[in-house]
Amino acid sequence: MSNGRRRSPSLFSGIILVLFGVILLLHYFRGDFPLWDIFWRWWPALLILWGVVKLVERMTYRPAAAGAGAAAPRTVRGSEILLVLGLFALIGTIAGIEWVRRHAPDAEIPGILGANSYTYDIEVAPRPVPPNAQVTIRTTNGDITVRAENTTQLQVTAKKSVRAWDDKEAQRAAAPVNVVIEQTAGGFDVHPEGQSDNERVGVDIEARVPLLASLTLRNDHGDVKTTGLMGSLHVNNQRGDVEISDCAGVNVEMNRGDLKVSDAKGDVKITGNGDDVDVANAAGGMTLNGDFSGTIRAEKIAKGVHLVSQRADLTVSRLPGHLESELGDFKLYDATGNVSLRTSSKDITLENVTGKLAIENRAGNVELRFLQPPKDDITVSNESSGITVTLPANSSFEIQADSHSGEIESDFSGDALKLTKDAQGNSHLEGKVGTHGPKITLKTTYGSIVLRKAG
Amino acid sequence: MADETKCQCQRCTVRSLMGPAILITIGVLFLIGQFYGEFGFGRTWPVILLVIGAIKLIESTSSGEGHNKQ
Repeated sequence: MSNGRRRSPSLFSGIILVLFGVILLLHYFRGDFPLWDIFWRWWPALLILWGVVKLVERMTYRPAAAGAGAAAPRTVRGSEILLVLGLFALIGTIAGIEWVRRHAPDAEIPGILGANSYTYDIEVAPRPVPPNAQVTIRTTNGDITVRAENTTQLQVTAKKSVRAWDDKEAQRAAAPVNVVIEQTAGGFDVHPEGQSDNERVGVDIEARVPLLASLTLRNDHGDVKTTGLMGSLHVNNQRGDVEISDCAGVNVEMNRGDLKVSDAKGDVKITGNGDDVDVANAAGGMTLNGDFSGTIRAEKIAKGVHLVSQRADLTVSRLPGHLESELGDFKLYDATGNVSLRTSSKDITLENVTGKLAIENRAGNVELRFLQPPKDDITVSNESSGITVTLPANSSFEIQADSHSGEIESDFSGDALKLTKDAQGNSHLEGKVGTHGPKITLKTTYGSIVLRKAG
Repeated sequence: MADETKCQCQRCTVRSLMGPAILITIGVLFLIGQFYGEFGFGRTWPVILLVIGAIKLIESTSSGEGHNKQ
Protein backbone atom coordinates (compact mmCIF):
# COMPACT_ATOMS: atom_id res chain seq x y z
CA MET A 1 0.00 0.00 0.00
CA SER A 2 1.24 3.42 -0.80
CA ASN A 3 -0.83 4.95 1.95
CA GLY A 4 0.87 6.88 4.74
CA ARG A 5 0.37 5.54 8.20
CA ARG A 6 -1.75 8.48 9.14
CA ARG A 7 -3.68 7.70 12.30
CA SER A 8 -7.25 8.70 12.53
CA PRO A 9 -7.73 11.06 15.47
CA SER A 10 -9.22 9.57 18.58
CA LEU A 11 -12.68 10.58 19.71
CA PHE A 12 -11.24 11.47 23.06
CA SER A 13 -9.76 14.87 22.28
CA GLY A 14 -13.01 15.95 20.66
CA ILE A 15 -15.12 14.77 23.57
CA ILE A 16 -12.97 16.38 26.21
CA LEU A 17 -12.79 19.71 24.36
CA VAL A 18 -16.57 19.83 24.02
CA LEU A 19 -16.98 18.83 27.66
CA PHE A 20 -14.63 21.54 28.93
CA GLY A 21 -16.24 24.08 26.63
CA VAL A 22 -19.70 23.32 27.99
CA ILE A 23 -18.54 23.37 31.62
CA LEU A 24 -16.77 26.70 31.18
CA LEU A 25 -19.77 28.25 29.46
CA LEU A 26 -22.03 27.05 32.26
CA HIS A 27 -19.59 28.54 34.73
CA TYR A 28 -19.64 31.90 32.99
CA PHE A 29 -23.35 32.11 32.39
CA ARG A 30 -24.58 30.68 35.64
CA GLY A 31 -22.83 32.57 38.40
CA ASP A 32 -23.18 29.76 40.90
CA PHE A 33 -21.36 27.03 39.01
CA PRO A 34 -18.35 26.29 41.21
CA LEU A 35 -15.74 25.39 38.65
CA TRP A 36 -12.91 24.43 40.93
CA ASP A 37 -15.01 22.31 43.29
CA ILE A 38 -16.37 20.37 40.38
CA PHE A 39 -12.95 19.56 39.05
CA TRP A 40 -11.60 18.78 42.46
CA ARG A 41 -14.35 16.26 42.93
CA TRP A 42 -14.75 14.85 39.45
CA TRP A 43 -11.28 14.69 37.92
CA PRO A 44 -10.99 10.91 38.39
CA ALA A 45 -14.08 10.52 36.19
CA LEU A 46 -12.02 12.04 33.41
CA LEU A 47 -9.53 9.19 33.63
CA ILE A 48 -12.39 6.73 33.47
CA LEU A 49 -13.85 8.47 30.44
CA TRP A 50 -10.45 8.44 28.81
CA GLY A 51 -10.02 4.74 29.39
CA VAL A 52 -13.54 3.88 28.28
CA VAL A 53 -13.20 5.83 25.02
CA LYS A 54 -9.91 4.07 24.30
CA LEU A 55 -11.40 0.71 25.14
CA VAL A 56 -14.45 1.22 22.95
CA GLU A 57 -12.32 2.42 20.06
CA ARG A 58 -10.09 -0.57 20.43
CA MET A 59 -12.94 -3.04 20.54
CA THR A 60 -14.84 -1.59 17.62
CA TYR A 61 -11.77 -1.28 15.47
CA ARG A 62 -12.07 -2.97 12.08
CA PRO A 63 -9.14 -2.47 9.72
CA ALA A 64 -11.43 -2.44 6.66
CA ALA A 65 -13.93 0.03 8.09
CA ALA A 66 -11.33 2.36 9.50
CA GLY A 67 -10.16 3.34 6.09
CA ALA A 68 -7.04 2.37 4.30
CA GLY A 69 -4.96 5.07 5.89
CA ALA A 70 -5.59 4.17 9.50
CA ALA A 71 -2.84 2.66 11.56
CA ALA A 72 -3.94 -0.19 13.72
CA PRO A 73 -3.75 0.09 17.51
CA ARG A 74 -4.80 3.37 18.98
CA THR A 75 -3.23 4.00 22.32
CA VAL A 76 -3.07 6.99 24.57
CA ARG A 77 -1.06 9.60 22.77
CA GLY A 78 1.30 12.29 23.92
CA SER A 79 -0.82 14.95 22.29
CA GLU A 80 -3.85 13.87 24.33
CA ILE A 81 -1.90 13.98 27.56
CA LEU A 82 -0.74 17.48 26.65
CA LEU A 83 -4.32 18.46 25.87
CA VAL A 84 -5.60 17.20 29.23
CA LEU A 85 -2.77 18.86 31.14
CA GLY A 86 -3.34 22.04 29.19
CA LEU A 87 -7.05 22.10 29.97
CA PHE A 88 -6.36 21.45 33.65
CA ALA A 89 -3.86 24.29 33.68
CA LEU A 90 -6.52 26.47 32.07
CA ILE A 91 -9.10 25.60 34.71
CA GLY A 92 -6.50 26.13 37.43
CA THR A 93 -5.65 29.57 36.05
CA ILE A 94 -9.29 30.62 35.83
CA ALA A 95 -10.02 29.33 39.32
CA GLY A 96 -6.89 31.06 40.62
CA ILE A 97 -7.85 34.40 39.10
CA GLU A 98 -11.34 34.13 40.54
CA TRP A 99 -9.95 33.21 43.94
CA VAL A 100 -7.73 36.28 43.92
CA ARG A 101 -10.66 38.39 42.82
CA ARG A 102 -12.81 37.11 45.63
CA HIS A 103 -10.20 37.43 48.34
CA ALA A 104 -8.63 40.65 47.15
CA PRO A 105 -11.44 42.56 45.46
CA ASP A 106 -9.18 45.54 44.90
CA ALA A 107 -6.70 43.63 42.78
CA GLU A 108 -6.60 44.94 39.23
CA ILE A 109 -7.33 42.09 36.85
CA PRO A 110 -8.28 42.79 33.26
CA GLY A 111 -12.02 42.41 32.79
CA ILE A 112 -11.54 39.93 29.99
CA LEU A 113 -10.45 37.30 32.48
CA GLY A 114 -13.56 37.00 34.60
CA ALA A 115 -16.66 38.56 36.05
CA ASN A 116 -16.48 41.39 38.55
CA SER A 117 -18.01 41.49 41.95
CA TYR A 118 -20.59 44.18 42.65
CA THR A 119 -21.64 45.11 46.16
CA TYR A 120 -24.70 47.01 47.37
CA ASP A 121 -25.68 48.10 50.87
CA ILE A 122 -28.94 46.96 52.42
CA GLU A 123 -30.69 49.21 54.92
CA VAL A 124 -32.34 47.46 57.85
CA ALA A 125 -34.23 49.45 60.48
CA PRO A 126 -32.99 48.77 64.05
CA ARG A 127 -35.36 46.91 66.32
CA PRO A 128 -35.66 47.37 70.10
CA VAL A 129 -35.20 44.01 71.81
CA PRO A 130 -35.17 42.75 75.42
CA PRO A 131 -31.70 42.49 76.96
CA ASN A 132 -31.77 38.69 76.96
CA ALA A 133 -33.38 38.34 73.53
CA GLN A 134 -32.99 35.17 71.53
CA VAL A 135 -31.50 36.18 68.23
CA THR A 136 -30.96 33.95 65.23
CA ILE A 137 -28.91 35.23 62.34
CA ARG A 138 -28.57 33.17 59.22
CA THR A 139 -27.34 33.53 55.71
CA THR A 140 -26.50 30.97 53.09
CA ASN A 141 -23.68 32.59 51.26
CA GLY A 142 -21.80 35.39 52.96
CA ASP A 143 -20.15 36.39 56.21
CA ILE A 144 -21.80 36.97 59.57
CA THR A 145 -20.16 39.36 62.00
CA VAL A 146 -21.72 40.00 65.38
CA ARG A 147 -20.61 42.32 68.13
CA ALA A 148 -22.32 42.28 71.50
CA GLU A 149 -22.44 45.60 73.26
CA ASN A 150 -24.33 47.66 75.78
CA THR A 151 -27.41 48.36 73.67
CA THR A 152 -31.13 47.74 73.76
CA GLN A 153 -31.46 47.44 70.02
CA LEU A 154 -30.80 44.85 67.43
CA GLN A 155 -28.92 46.73 64.76
CA VAL A 156 -28.26 45.10 61.45
CA THR A 157 -26.31 46.33 58.48
CA ALA A 158 -26.01 44.10 55.46
CA LYS A 159 -24.34 43.95 52.11
CA LYS A 160 -25.34 41.99 49.09
CA SER A 161 -22.76 41.09 46.52
CA VAL A 162 -23.13 39.52 43.15
CA ARG A 163 -20.67 38.48 40.49
CA ALA A 164 -21.62 39.76 37.11
CA TRP A 165 -20.20 41.09 33.89
CA ASP A 166 -21.64 44.55 34.13
CA ASP A 167 -23.42 46.78 36.59
CA LYS A 168 -26.78 46.40 34.86
CA GLU A 169 -26.78 42.64 35.10
CA ALA A 170 -25.57 42.84 38.70
CA GLN A 171 -28.38 45.19 39.73
CA ARG A 172 -30.96 43.02 38.08
CA ALA A 173 -29.77 39.97 39.99
CA ALA A 174 -29.37 41.76 43.31
CA ALA A 175 -32.50 43.93 43.30
CA PRO A 176 -34.97 41.43 44.85
CA VAL A 177 -32.63 40.53 47.71
CA ASN A 178 -33.22 42.07 51.11
CA VAL A 179 -32.49 41.37 54.77
CA VAL A 180 -35.30 41.28 57.31
CA ILE A 181 -35.65 41.06 61.08
CA GLU A 182 -38.57 38.79 61.75
CA GLN A 183 -40.16 38.42 65.14
CA THR A 184 -40.84 34.77 65.88
CA ALA A 185 -42.28 32.95 68.86
CA GLY A 186 -38.82 32.32 70.24
CA GLY A 187 -37.26 35.67 69.50
CA PHE A 188 -35.84 37.46 66.50
CA ASP A 189 -34.76 35.95 63.23
CA VAL A 190 -32.46 37.89 60.93
CA HIS A 191 -32.13 36.48 57.44
CA PRO A 192 -31.99 37.40 53.76
CA GLU A 193 -35.11 37.35 51.65
CA GLY A 194 -35.71 37.18 47.93
CA GLN A 195 -32.72 35.09 47.02
CA SER A 196 -33.33 32.94 44.00
CA ASP A 197 -32.71 29.25 44.23
CA ASN A 198 -29.20 29.32 42.95
CA GLU A 199 -28.15 31.79 45.62
CA ARG A 200 -26.03 33.72 43.26
CA VAL A 201 -26.31 36.80 45.43
CA GLY A 202 -24.21 36.59 48.57
CA VAL A 203 -25.40 38.41 51.67
CA ASP A 204 -23.02 39.57 54.40
CA ILE A 205 -24.67 40.46 57.69
CA GLU A 206 -23.21 42.60 60.42
CA ALA A 207 -25.14 42.89 63.66
CA ARG A 208 -24.93 44.50 67.07
CA VAL A 209 -26.81 42.71 69.82
CA PRO A 210 -27.28 43.27 73.57
CA LEU A 211 -24.56 41.74 75.74
CA LEU A 212 -26.83 39.14 77.29
CA ALA A 213 -28.57 38.03 74.12
CA SER A 214 -28.69 34.34 73.25
CA LEU A 215 -27.33 34.01 69.79
CA THR A 216 -27.65 31.36 67.11
CA LEU A 217 -25.63 31.85 63.95
CA ARG A 218 -26.14 29.71 60.87
CA ASN A 219 -24.22 29.90 57.67
CA ASP A 220 -23.76 27.57 54.73
CA HIS A 221 -20.89 29.21 53.02
CA GLY A 222 -18.88 32.03 54.52
CA ASP A 223 -17.13 33.13 57.67
CA VAL A 224 -18.65 33.73 61.08
CA LYS A 225 -17.17 36.10 63.59
CA THR A 226 -18.46 37.18 66.96
CA THR A 227 -17.10 39.04 69.91
CA GLY A 228 -18.18 40.09 73.37
CA LEU A 229 -21.32 38.00 73.82
CA MET A 230 -22.24 37.13 77.40
CA GLY A 231 -25.35 35.08 76.62
CA SER A 232 -25.35 31.62 75.10
CA LEU A 233 -23.85 31.17 71.68
CA HIS A 234 -24.52 28.50 69.12
CA VAL A 235 -22.76 28.49 65.76
CA ASN A 236 -23.55 26.23 62.85
CA ASN A 237 -21.27 26.90 59.93
CA GLN A 238 -21.12 24.44 57.06
CA ARG A 239 -18.26 25.89 55.17
CA GLY A 240 -16.01 28.70 56.22
CA ASP A 241 -13.97 29.95 59.14
CA VAL A 242 -15.34 30.66 62.58
CA GLU A 243 -13.76 33.14 64.94
CA ILE A 244 -15.13 33.69 68.42
CA SER A 245 -13.58 35.94 71.00
CA ASP A 246 -14.80 36.90 74.44
CA CYS A 247 -17.81 34.73 74.99
CA ALA A 248 -19.63 33.07 77.84
CA GLY A 249 -19.46 29.64 76.33
CA VAL A 250 -20.01 28.32 72.88
CA ASN A 251 -21.32 25.39 70.97
CA VAL A 252 -19.92 25.12 67.45
CA GLU A 253 -20.96 22.77 64.70
CA MET A 254 -18.97 22.97 61.52
CA ASN A 255 -18.14 20.99 58.45
CA ARG A 256 -15.25 22.66 56.78
CA GLY A 257 -12.97 25.52 57.72
CA ASP A 258 -10.88 26.79 60.60
CA LEU A 259 -12.08 27.53 64.10
CA LYS A 260 -10.63 29.99 66.56
CA VAL A 261 -12.02 30.55 70.02
CA SER A 262 -10.40 32.80 72.59
CA ASP A 263 -11.38 33.91 76.07
CA ALA A 264 -14.40 31.79 76.84
CA LYS A 265 -15.88 32.09 80.29
CA GLY A 266 -17.60 28.74 79.99
CA ASP A 267 -17.38 25.51 78.04
CA VAL A 268 -16.33 25.26 74.41
CA LYS A 269 -18.04 22.45 72.57
CA ILE A 270 -17.08 21.61 69.02
CA THR A 271 -18.57 18.98 66.77
CA GLY A 272 -18.16 18.19 63.10
CA ASN A 273 -15.29 18.33 60.67
CA GLY A 274 -12.85 20.96 59.62
CA ASP A 275 -9.25 22.00 59.34
CA ASP A 276 -7.47 23.90 62.11
CA VAL A 277 -8.84 24.39 65.60
CA ASP A 278 -7.36 26.87 68.02
CA VAL A 279 -8.87 27.34 71.46
CA ALA A 280 -7.17 29.58 74.01
CA ASN A 281 -8.11 30.70 77.51
CA ALA A 282 -11.26 28.91 78.51
CA ALA A 283 -12.55 29.03 82.06
CA GLY A 284 -14.61 25.93 81.32
CA GLY A 285 -13.70 22.76 79.49
CA MET A 286 -13.15 22.04 75.84
CA THR A 287 -14.84 19.15 74.07
CA LEU A 288 -14.10 18.35 70.49
CA ASN A 289 -15.91 15.57 68.74
CA GLY A 290 -15.09 15.02 65.10
CA ASP A 291 -12.34 14.90 62.55
CA PHE A 292 -10.26 17.97 62.02
CA SER A 293 -7.59 17.49 59.43
CA GLY A 294 -5.36 20.40 60.38
CA THR A 295 -3.69 21.31 63.63
CA ILE A 296 -5.65 21.23 66.85
CA ARG A 297 -4.29 23.63 69.43
CA ALA A 298 -5.56 24.18 72.92
CA GLU A 299 -4.08 26.49 75.48
CA LYS A 300 -5.01 27.25 79.09
CA ILE A 301 -8.20 25.26 79.38
CA ALA A 302 -9.14 25.35 83.07
CA LYS A 303 -11.47 22.40 83.13
CA GLY A 304 -9.55 20.22 80.74
CA VAL A 305 -9.81 18.92 77.24
CA HIS A 306 -11.71 16.02 75.81
CA LEU A 307 -10.94 15.12 72.21
CA VAL A 308 -12.67 12.33 70.35
CA SER A 309 -12.04 11.55 66.72
CA GLN A 310 -11.75 8.47 64.58
CA ARG A 311 -8.06 8.34 65.26
CA ALA A 312 -7.65 9.59 68.79
CA ASP A 313 -9.29 9.75 72.16
CA LEU A 314 -7.79 12.17 74.62
CA THR A 315 -8.71 13.39 78.05
CA VAL A 316 -6.69 15.97 79.92
CA SER A 317 -8.32 16.92 83.19
CA ARG A 318 -6.66 20.35 83.55
CA LEU A 319 -4.55 22.15 81.02
CA PRO A 320 -2.65 25.22 82.26
CA GLY A 321 -0.18 24.68 79.42
CA HIS A 322 -0.96 23.80 75.84
CA LEU A 323 -1.40 20.91 73.47
CA GLU A 324 -0.96 20.52 69.79
CA SER A 325 -2.21 17.65 67.69
CA GLU A 326 -1.78 17.16 64.00
CA LEU A 327 -1.66 14.33 61.53
CA GLY A 328 1.41 12.45 62.77
CA ASP A 329 2.22 14.36 65.91
CA PHE A 330 0.84 14.97 69.35
CA LYS A 331 2.44 17.33 71.86
CA LEU A 332 1.28 18.21 75.33
CA TYR A 333 3.09 20.66 77.61
CA ASP A 334 2.28 21.45 81.21
CA ALA A 335 -0.85 19.64 82.21
CA THR A 336 -1.97 19.05 85.76
CA GLY A 337 -4.42 16.33 86.54
CA ASN A 338 -4.87 13.10 84.71
CA VAL A 339 -4.11 12.49 81.08
CA SER A 340 -5.35 9.59 79.04
CA LEU A 341 -4.62 9.26 75.36
CA ARG A 342 -5.41 6.52 72.92
CA THR A 343 -4.29 6.92 69.34
CA SER A 344 -2.11 5.42 66.64
CA SER A 345 0.52 6.45 64.13
CA LYS A 346 1.39 9.58 66.02
CA ASP A 347 4.67 10.61 67.60
CA ILE A 348 3.68 11.60 71.10
CA THR A 349 5.57 14.05 73.26
CA LEU A 350 4.44 14.91 76.78
CA GLU A 351 6.33 17.35 78.91
CA ASN A 352 5.73 18.35 82.50
CA VAL A 353 2.57 16.42 83.05
CA THR A 354 1.75 15.85 86.70
CA GLY A 355 -1.01 13.42 87.39
CA LYS A 356 -2.01 9.99 86.35
CA LEU A 357 -0.94 9.11 82.87
CA ALA A 358 -2.29 6.42 80.54
CA ILE A 359 -1.13 6.26 76.93
CA GLU A 360 -1.93 3.74 74.25
CA ASN A 361 -0.27 4.14 70.88
CA ARG A 362 0.76 2.20 67.85
CA ALA A 363 3.39 2.90 65.20
CA GLY A 364 4.63 6.12 66.73
CA ASN A 365 7.25 7.01 69.31
CA VAL A 366 6.23 8.03 72.78
CA GLU A 367 8.38 10.46 74.67
CA LEU A 368 7.67 11.56 78.24
CA ARG A 369 9.69 14.24 79.98
CA PHE A 370 9.14 14.91 83.66
CA LEU A 371 10.42 18.08 85.26
CA GLN A 372 9.23 16.95 88.72
CA PRO A 373 9.50 13.44 90.16
CA PRO A 374 6.28 11.66 89.17
CA LYS A 375 3.67 11.19 91.90
CA ASP A 376 1.03 9.20 90.06
CA ASP A 377 1.01 6.01 88.07
CA ILE A 378 2.20 6.00 84.49
CA THR A 379 1.10 3.42 81.94
CA VAL A 380 2.32 3.43 78.36
CA SER A 381 1.64 0.71 75.84
CA ASN A 382 2.95 0.95 72.33
CA GLU A 383 3.51 -1.23 69.28
CA SER A 384 6.23 -1.20 66.66
CA SER A 385 7.82 1.89 68.17
CA GLY A 386 9.90 3.05 71.07
CA ILE A 387 9.20 4.65 74.42
CA THR A 388 11.51 7.20 76.02
CA VAL A 389 10.94 8.41 79.58
CA THR A 390 13.07 11.13 81.10
CA LEU A 391 12.86 11.52 84.88
CA PRO A 392 14.60 13.79 87.38
CA ALA A 393 17.54 12.09 89.11
CA ASN A 394 15.80 12.19 92.50
CA SER A 395 12.69 10.35 91.28
CA SER A 396 11.30 7.38 93.14
CA PHE A 397 9.30 4.80 91.25
CA GLU A 398 8.46 1.20 90.83
CA ILE A 399 8.96 0.07 87.27
CA GLN A 400 7.88 -2.78 85.09
CA ALA A 401 8.97 -2.50 81.47
CA ASP A 402 8.66 -5.04 78.68
CA SER A 403 9.91 -4.83 75.15
CA HIS A 404 8.92 -7.66 72.89
CA SER A 405 11.82 -8.15 70.44
CA GLY A 406 13.39 -4.89 71.55
CA GLU A 407 16.03 -3.39 73.84
CA ILE A 408 15.69 -1.69 77.19
CA GLU A 409 18.19 0.91 78.25
CA SER A 410 18.21 2.54 81.67
CA ASP A 411 20.24 5.35 83.22
CA PHE A 412 18.84 4.34 86.57
CA SER A 413 20.47 1.34 88.19
CA GLY A 414 20.67 -0.32 91.56
CA ASP A 415 20.31 -3.58 93.40
CA ALA A 416 16.54 -3.36 93.39
CA LEU A 417 16.43 -2.95 89.60
CA LYS A 418 16.81 -6.00 87.38
CA LEU A 419 17.24 -5.95 83.61
CA THR A 420 16.97 -9.28 81.81
CA LYS A 421 16.92 -10.39 78.22
CA ASP A 422 15.74 -13.81 77.13
CA ALA A 423 16.84 -15.98 74.23
CA GLN A 424 14.04 -14.72 71.97
CA GLY A 425 15.28 -11.16 72.28
CA ASN A 426 12.58 -9.93 74.67
CA SER A 427 13.78 -7.47 77.30
CA HIS A 428 12.38 -7.01 80.75
CA LEU A 429 13.10 -4.43 83.43
CA GLU A 430 11.62 -4.67 86.85
CA GLY A 431 12.30 -3.17 90.22
CA LYS A 432 12.28 -0.13 92.43
CA VAL A 433 14.14 3.11 92.61
CA GLY A 434 13.87 5.04 95.86
CA THR A 435 10.90 4.45 98.10
CA HIS A 436 7.16 4.97 97.87
CA GLY A 437 7.30 5.83 94.21
CA PRO A 438 4.38 5.48 91.81
CA LYS A 439 4.10 2.58 89.38
CA ILE A 440 5.51 2.99 85.92
CA THR A 441 4.37 0.36 83.43
CA LEU A 442 5.88 0.49 79.94
CA LYS A 443 5.17 -2.01 77.22
CA THR A 444 6.08 -2.12 73.57
CA THR A 445 6.90 -4.46 70.70
CA TYR A 446 9.68 -4.10 68.15
CA GLY A 447 10.93 -0.91 69.70
CA SER A 448 13.29 0.09 72.46
CA ILE A 449 12.45 1.47 75.85
CA VAL A 450 14.81 4.11 77.18
CA LEU A 451 14.78 5.39 80.73
CA ARG A 452 16.79 8.60 81.09
CA LYS A 453 17.96 10.63 84.03
CA ALA A 454 17.37 14.32 83.43
CA GLY A 455 20.28 16.72 83.47
CA MET B 1 2.30 18.90 6.17
CA ALA B 2 1.95 19.88 2.57
CA ASP B 3 0.19 16.66 1.73
CA GLU B 4 -2.95 17.70 3.55
CA THR B 5 -3.94 20.28 1.01
CA LYS B 6 -3.64 17.78 -1.76
CA CYS B 7 -5.39 14.87 -0.13
CA GLN B 8 -9.07 14.81 -0.96
CA CYS B 9 -10.21 12.21 1.53
CA GLN B 10 -13.11 13.16 3.80
CA ARG B 11 -11.04 13.26 6.95
CA CYS B 12 -8.42 15.57 5.56
CA THR B 13 -11.12 17.87 4.20
CA VAL B 14 -12.69 18.22 7.64
CA ARG B 15 -9.27 18.71 9.17
CA SER B 16 -8.46 21.53 6.81
CA LEU B 17 -11.59 23.35 8.00
CA MET B 18 -10.16 23.68 11.52
CA GLY B 19 -8.12 26.83 10.97
CA PRO B 20 -10.81 28.86 9.15
CA ALA B 21 -13.48 27.72 11.61
CA ILE B 22 -11.45 28.94 14.60
CA LEU B 23 -10.82 32.30 12.92
CA ILE B 24 -14.49 32.73 12.08
CA THR B 25 -15.54 31.75 15.63
CA ILE B 26 -13.16 34.25 17.22
CA GLY B 27 -14.37 36.95 14.84
CA VAL B 28 -18.02 36.25 15.56
CA LEU B 29 -17.46 36.15 19.32
CA PHE B 30 -15.68 39.52 19.34
CA LEU B 31 -18.36 40.99 17.13
CA ILE B 32 -21.11 39.78 19.46
CA GLY B 33 -19.15 41.34 22.31
CA GLN B 34 -19.23 44.70 20.55
CA PHE B 35 -23.00 44.73 20.34
CA TYR B 36 -24.09 42.88 23.46
CA GLY B 37 -22.12 43.97 26.50
CA GLU B 38 -22.97 40.97 28.60
CA PHE B 39 -21.78 38.51 25.99
CA GLY B 40 -18.19 39.75 25.99
CA PHE B 41 -15.35 37.61 24.70
CA GLY B 42 -14.13 37.14 28.27
CA ARG B 43 -17.20 35.07 28.78
CA THR B 44 -17.85 33.40 25.46
CA TRP B 45 -14.34 32.19 24.62
CA PRO B 46 -15.03 28.57 25.68
CA VAL B 47 -17.10 28.38 22.47
CA ILE B 48 -13.73 28.09 20.71
CA LEU B 49 -13.06 24.90 22.69
CA LEU B 50 -16.48 23.64 21.61
CA VAL B 51 -15.75 24.34 17.95
CA ILE B 52 -12.34 22.65 18.05
CA GLY B 53 -13.84 19.70 19.89
CA ALA B 54 -16.72 19.37 17.44
CA ILE B 55 -14.42 19.45 14.42
CA LYS B 56 -12.18 16.86 16.04
CA LEU B 57 -15.18 14.65 16.65
CA ILE B 58 -16.35 14.94 13.07
CA GLU B 59 -12.81 14.31 11.89
CA SER B 60 -12.46 11.15 13.91
CA THR B 61 -15.76 9.72 12.77
CA SER B 62 -15.32 10.58 9.11
CA SER B 63 -13.81 8.08 6.75
CA GLY B 64 -10.19 8.16 5.77
CA GLU B 65 -10.85 6.24 2.64
CA GLY B 66 -8.76 7.32 -0.26
CA HIS B 67 -6.26 9.03 2.01
CA ASN B 68 -3.36 9.91 -0.11
CA LYS B 69 0.07 10.76 1.16
CA GLN B 70 2.27 11.98 -1.61
